[in-house]
Amino acid sequence: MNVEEQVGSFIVETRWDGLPKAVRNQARLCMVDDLGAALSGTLTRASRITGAYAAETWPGDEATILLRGRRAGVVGAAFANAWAANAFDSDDGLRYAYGHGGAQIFPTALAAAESRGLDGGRMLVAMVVGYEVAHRVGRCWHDSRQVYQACGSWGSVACAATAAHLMGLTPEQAWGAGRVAAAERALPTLRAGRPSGALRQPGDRCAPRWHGVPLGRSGWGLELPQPGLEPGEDGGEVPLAGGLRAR
Amino acid sequence: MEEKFRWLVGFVLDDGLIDRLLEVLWHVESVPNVRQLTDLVARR
Repeated sequence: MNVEEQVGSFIVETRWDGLPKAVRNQARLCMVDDLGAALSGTLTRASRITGAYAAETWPGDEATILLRGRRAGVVGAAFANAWAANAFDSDDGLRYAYGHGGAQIFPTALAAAESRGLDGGRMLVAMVVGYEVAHRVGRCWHDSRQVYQACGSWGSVACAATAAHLMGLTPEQAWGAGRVAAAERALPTLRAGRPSGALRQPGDRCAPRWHGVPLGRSGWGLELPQPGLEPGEDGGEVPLAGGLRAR
Repeated sequence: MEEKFRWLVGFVLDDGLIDRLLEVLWHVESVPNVRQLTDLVARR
């Protein structure tokens, strides 16, 4: 099995019963942490704005915009809830990826699972998949790049993996979704990065290019894993494949 | 983690609902439909 097949199979075929107990417990903790951050984040003006924007831009009845009494299409709900989850910066940080993972992964999993009427176990497994992909892709990219890899870069791939699991894609489609996410969403964020080591500087308070771009990922990740979508010609040169092979 | 959750969510939900929510969250793998979770947090 080559790396594409291994990654695709991991994304699609991971099951709750196959996870170690420690991973299951951590998944629950992450979910509680992420939801707490998202619910409290609804108090912010940014959440009110993005909630209204999401309901208008992605109308529908597929998933819940938290505490707004409104529903939206699955992408819109994920988008709005992701903004809420990072609004106070109280959400989790990923040690190996150097950024916020849960604020992207959890809203994607919640909206995709709700829209499909799936059970809580499936949602948790999708989160495990997302966190694992986030950690590995973030670490690989930081190892091979001299600029900071903002949350939305590896977060795009993680959200695509999370959604791919819940959407029942094939391993090949799941790998393709990750490549599309890497090629079409991550690179522009990388170019907006800053020199390695300058992860946070005085005055950094959720600047648009810092958090705003990444937090769109939760919605974009959901849009990507559509059967038939293929990466562009340069997709094969995205460091995802090389980084994963190096590991 | 529960302490952090209660503190953060206490700004938007009452204690009774937080208790019900945590009961669902700690056993979420047994919830047959995620909608049962989202229904609890659909509105303030």
